[in-house]
Amino acid sequence: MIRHFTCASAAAALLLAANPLYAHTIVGNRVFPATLTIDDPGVNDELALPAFSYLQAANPDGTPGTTSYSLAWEYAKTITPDFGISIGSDGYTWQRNPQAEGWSNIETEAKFAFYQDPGHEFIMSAAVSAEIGNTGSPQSASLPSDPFSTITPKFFIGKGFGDASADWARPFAVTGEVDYSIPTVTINSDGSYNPTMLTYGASLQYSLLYENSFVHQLPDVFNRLIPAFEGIFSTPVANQGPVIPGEFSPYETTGVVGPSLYYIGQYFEIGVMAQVPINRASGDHVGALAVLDIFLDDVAPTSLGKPLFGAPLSPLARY
Amino acid sequence: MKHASLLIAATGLASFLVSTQAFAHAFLNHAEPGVGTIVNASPPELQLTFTEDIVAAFSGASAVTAGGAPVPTGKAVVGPANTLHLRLAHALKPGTYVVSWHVVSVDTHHTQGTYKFTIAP
Ligand SMILES: [Cu+2]
Repeated sequence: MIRHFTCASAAAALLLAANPLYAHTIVGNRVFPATLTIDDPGVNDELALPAFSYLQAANPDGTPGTTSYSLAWEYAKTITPDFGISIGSDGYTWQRNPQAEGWSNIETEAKFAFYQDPGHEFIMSAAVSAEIGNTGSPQSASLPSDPFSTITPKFFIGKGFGDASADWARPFAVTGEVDYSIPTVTINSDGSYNPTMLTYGASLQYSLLYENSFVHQLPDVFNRLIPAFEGIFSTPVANQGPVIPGEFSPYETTGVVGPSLYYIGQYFEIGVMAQVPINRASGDHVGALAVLDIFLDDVAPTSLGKPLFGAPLSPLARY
Repeated sequence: MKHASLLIAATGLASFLVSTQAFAHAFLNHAEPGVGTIVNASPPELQLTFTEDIVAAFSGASAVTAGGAPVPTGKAVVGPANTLHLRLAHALKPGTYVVSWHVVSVDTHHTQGTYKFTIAP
């Protein structure tokens, strides 16, 4: 792929569509699902396989651009109850118009949940991830992986409102993530730029799971669902490169927002989302995201699914 | 890379298949009288059904009136299907009651919570 600015914008949009990591988190009585646009705020033993993404890009003149389908994956492992590592990738991507396909780079991440308050369903964590250059498809492929690495410090927050005095408010929760992605190579051999990106997203969740357990009993078909509204945005903050007439601005913020729905089963979660591009640089029309997330802590609680060191997380052991 | 993901997939699927029991956090799935509901008459006992296997020795429940007065009950007993049974010493008068529960699932995870139900006058 030629690293042209149009391509870079399309790639940014695609990155948004396919980039998130996945996991579910429990703090006190709150289950934060593995959300589709941003990562959830905890550390876990989980396997996201696959995470499907579909999005159509737009060209600056308004004509439809590249259509992309991708299948991503991630494996997350707890080392201690508060510290975990993960490995994953945006996986395999098929593009149409023009036709191209290839594997994305491998990404690794170390994450630390440094503050948890079970009573207030509150959690904060921080992570550093490294996307390792040239670990995907070779540069000779029709859709090669980035030939450079990217280092990203991340910050996460989650708050459930189970401590609210009004019953109607108690099923609500919010989560957020802020990333600062620093490419290790700023100017490519063809003279194009790899900007430093600020990526930020949030979710507003209404947990029917919570409502059923603590506020008002619901019929079985609803009581494992968590509807949400979420979004993720990316703003280039440094090394944007020159403005070129007729192309998307290298300073433009891209993003998607949309409604999502999660089903929390015993061993797995299924999530789906309609992703609506916020502007033309972000995409042409509504795309889709979906994930199957396997809870290894529930599937294999005494082996693969528990922290290597320390007891399993017991969020309410203090009561 | 293809191989790495296939290996991980195989490991995940294998462990999914070998494990037969669900161990996780137990949440209240269903109660009798229901969470947040209004019923017409006092039940003989309170029933709380959880989403996971629970350990009887570390699991229990109690109830108080809206004013905080304790409701006399027997000891909570774990029956089949992860249901806690809490026998009431005598029929409840009309009013709102608050049930508090705490359970430990088989993987040692604690969860606890409260809910209300009302007996109509
Ligand atoms: Cu658990």
